[in-house]
Amino acid sequence: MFICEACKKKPATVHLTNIENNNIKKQVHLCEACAQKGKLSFTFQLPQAVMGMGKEESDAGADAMPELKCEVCGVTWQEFRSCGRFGCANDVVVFRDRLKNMIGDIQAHEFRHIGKTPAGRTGSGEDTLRSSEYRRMLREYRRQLREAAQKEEYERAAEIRDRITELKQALAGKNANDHQ
Amino acid sequence: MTINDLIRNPGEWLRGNGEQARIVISSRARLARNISDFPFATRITDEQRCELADLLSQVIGGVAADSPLTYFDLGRMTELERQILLERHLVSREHAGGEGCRGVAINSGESLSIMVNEEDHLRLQSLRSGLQLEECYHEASRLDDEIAREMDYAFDQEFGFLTACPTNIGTGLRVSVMLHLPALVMTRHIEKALRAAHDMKLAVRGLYGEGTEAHGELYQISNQVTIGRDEETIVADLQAFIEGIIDYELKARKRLLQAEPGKVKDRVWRAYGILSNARLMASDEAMRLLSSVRLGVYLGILPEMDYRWLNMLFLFIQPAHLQHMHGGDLAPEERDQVRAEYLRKQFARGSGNGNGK
Repeated sequence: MFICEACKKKPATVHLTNIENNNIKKQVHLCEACAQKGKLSFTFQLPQAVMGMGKEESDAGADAMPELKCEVCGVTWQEFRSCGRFGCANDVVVFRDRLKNMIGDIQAHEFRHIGKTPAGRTGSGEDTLRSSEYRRMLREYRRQLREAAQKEEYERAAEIRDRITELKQALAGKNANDHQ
Repeated sequence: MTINDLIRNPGEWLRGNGEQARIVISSRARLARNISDFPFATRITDEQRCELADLLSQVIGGVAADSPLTYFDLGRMTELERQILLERHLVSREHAGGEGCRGVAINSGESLSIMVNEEDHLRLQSLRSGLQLEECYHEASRLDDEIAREMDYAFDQEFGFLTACPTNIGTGLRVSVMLHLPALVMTRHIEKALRAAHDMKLAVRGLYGEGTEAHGELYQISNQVTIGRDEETIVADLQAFIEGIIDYELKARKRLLQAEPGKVKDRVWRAYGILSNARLMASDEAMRLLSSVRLGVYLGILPEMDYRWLNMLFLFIQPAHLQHMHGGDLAPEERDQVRAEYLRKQFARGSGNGNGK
């Protein structure tokens, strides 16, 4: 029976073995609490999904909770937990509350984003919408350009390219104004 | 710029002229971004991936930059060419080994690379020699702003930039530094240093990223926290820690020479001797020996050698570079022979011409 190597108090229930080239290089024995807190040496890189395991079960409680699922990409909370990857930008909206707990654990502190925001999104709500609209149009034009190039419709491609240039200039002009 | 142009001229980050270039090989800042209307990597379809790659290559091509970026379709390259990009840290192992429509945009100095359709839709990277973390971050950030003006990034007020993996969410920023720490290894203080990194929530890895061994006594130290701190703080925190490690390594080097001069000199000269004379050389051994030579130059045991030359050697002995230089695929035993020959020639010539060719 092993005692947790980190806190040296609780019995170890999580046993990690690092195997390299078919040789067992190192073994670490931790209690559940310390394993979750990530008290491992740098040589272990655990998938984040494993790190948070256990807490979710205790959170869920006796009642089964309705399965959370992203309506856009179809990823469920369980899927996300097991593979550790988001399927699309809408996932964070759907999983918001549970994510707050989880990210707190993984990154082990304040979870809220305080860094930069995407350029070109400054200004009033209306301005933001217009920029967004310009970007959407740009995307559409580029799609058309690709099609035209594939179909060898070179005149049409040249026209679309002109429109793209105009739109980019308008967007750049807008951004310059936003920053003033 | 063709792939061959790129291969012929190794990147700026090897120049060995940045701050603290004798201990710090290179600095890197990477931003992970996704485009809001497309599913992320695990859910995107092949067709969407191609559409997105096409879209992004157009946007990147139009970005105003001091040195324009050329987009390379990874699917159209040979395996050897992909490996070369990997050895130059311009693409990740996942990207080189991946499938489907994906690419990388690179500028001619190789200081900027943008991976398209890796784990995230975009991975913007700035890579420089020596300790230049702030410059790397600002360059990557500028590029990020340019792209943001034309594409809608997946972004949330609370969670910041949305990345495929929650370990990158928020700033999507990973800053890292590659260090040469032979004295800390030889004096057995490296574990302490690595534990200190871990306590500061910094990750330590070997030469080629996640889960690799520290060949050649080279370590990559990077931040793990990407959310709840702003970008400048993340950069400053890593910078401060690295300065401490550099200090630690320099002190260990001094102590090493004072405490065991005979042993150190022997190790250095043996390395020099073997590199100059061996007929077969595996890459692991070459890295180990070059590490000793590099230390020997610093300690003044060996005659002065150009650090840029040393950096070049260490790139050109990597398997893909070696094969490309030789002009074709080589079986492992042949590689060991070619590597040994290359090193013998280089050491005979000395670092005079400084470009490892």
